[in-house]
Amino acid sequence: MSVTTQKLFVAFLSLALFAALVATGAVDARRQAEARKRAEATLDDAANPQIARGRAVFERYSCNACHGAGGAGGINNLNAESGGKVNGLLHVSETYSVSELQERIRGGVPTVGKADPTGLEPPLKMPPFRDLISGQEMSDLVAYLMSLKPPPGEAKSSSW
Amino acid sequence: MSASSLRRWLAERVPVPMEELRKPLREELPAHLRTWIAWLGGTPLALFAIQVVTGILLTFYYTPDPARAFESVRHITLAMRYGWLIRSLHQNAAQLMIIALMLHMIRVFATRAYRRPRELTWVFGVTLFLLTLGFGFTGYSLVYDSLSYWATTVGTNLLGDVPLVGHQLLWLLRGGPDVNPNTLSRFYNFHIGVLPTLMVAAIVAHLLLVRLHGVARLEGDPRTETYEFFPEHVLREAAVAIVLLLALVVYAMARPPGLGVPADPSFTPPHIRPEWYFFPSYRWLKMVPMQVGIWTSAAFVLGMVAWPWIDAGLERLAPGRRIGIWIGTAGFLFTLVLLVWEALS
Repeated sequence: MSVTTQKLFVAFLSLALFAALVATGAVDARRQAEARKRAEATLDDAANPQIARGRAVFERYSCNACHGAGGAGGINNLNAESGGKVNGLLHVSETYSVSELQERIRGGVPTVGKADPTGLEPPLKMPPFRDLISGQEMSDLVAYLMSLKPPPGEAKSSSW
Repeated sequence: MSASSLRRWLAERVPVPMEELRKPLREELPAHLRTWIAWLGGTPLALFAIQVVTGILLTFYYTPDPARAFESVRHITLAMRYGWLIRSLHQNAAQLMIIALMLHMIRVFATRAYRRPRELTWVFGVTLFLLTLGFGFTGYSLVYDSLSYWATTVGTNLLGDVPLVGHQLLWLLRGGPDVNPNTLSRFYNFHIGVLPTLMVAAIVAHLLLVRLHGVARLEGDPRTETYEFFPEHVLREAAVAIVLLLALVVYAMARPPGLGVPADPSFTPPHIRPEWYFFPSYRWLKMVPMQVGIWTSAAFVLGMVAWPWIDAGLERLAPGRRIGIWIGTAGFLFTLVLLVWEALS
């Protein structure tokens, strides 16, 4: 390989390195956004410890396993009237009072409506949490659920 | 002021003999150095430069205090702008530096470039390798997560078993009988002060000797042609350095550095292991009685340092039999087996 070819090769590699360094900007921006979100969540938790405790209850009883992380959207539930999925929980504060929500958690959802009345019974039903969650844990959980909000701009849901 | 008058002004006040300084750039190198494995002499130096730059940036935010060390690493990794990139480059350039040094040593060993009069160049080379391992050991402990804390505890414990001076060595490193707040500040001091100073001194000595002796010719190589250090060899070294840096940057984007569990002196994790480059000695020390392990490890290191003279002695005993190469190959394979064994266990 001649020296001129080698110089061109090194110049090409330098350009590739420069491009890679520019690309790190995108990764950094994403990580910065995540860091901001975490910092805001920490501040929110400090400002309202009951909501932080409620989030812990939500995760301790694996509510997120069906309703999704942060109640943002549920997993598939074949033929459920709520779009074939377990409901998200971002709109509960619009449709439930505190006592109604507590009652819902205690009693669970024994019957899930079908999207297609002639179709299969949706396999997932919410079990009653009467014997598991009560007292302070129930107040904290409900406070957390009532604090959930859909992202700005999302249409109001008719049901949770 | 034009560029030429500025140059004249500077030359008058700083009378550097530029022509003399340019001479090393025109050094003639033997043709066998055109093979890629012969470029790896400069690679550890380029990687060391990356370590210096990223290391200085990390010291801006790292706190060598047991109560805050892990948190500062978390802050660098998750919150600082480009902190993930800097930390990843530092962490992985260190691994590459050790691999590059190993390959460079294997090349020098296999070509017997350490023969008289270049024995001291080899000795300084081995010193650089040992210092790099020292960087790895102290650097790993600074992260202060559970695994690094316990690896430090186990690693320094071994020193306590060294005959005669073990107790003193242990205290020197730990600043107490156990791993304690003093230990972290000592390791930090070693990592950013003592070791870099020794490293720079050893690099200068190594390069100076390489330059003074010139690059060794390959035994039995009939080629007489040469090529100039600058620009051809420098371009090859630069190409390797840029490719490695590019790979490091791409790797950092694909797999940004993670965080372990904060160190907890009251809880010993089930699988304590040092970094991979200590696997062979770790496995060896687990296999044999402690005193045997320590003496054989010391003999191994001494053997490496004194290899040029040992090899010369073997050559005098059995001329032309290349016993040294066979011993070296056996030693290398044994080390490799120990490394793989520990990695798979």
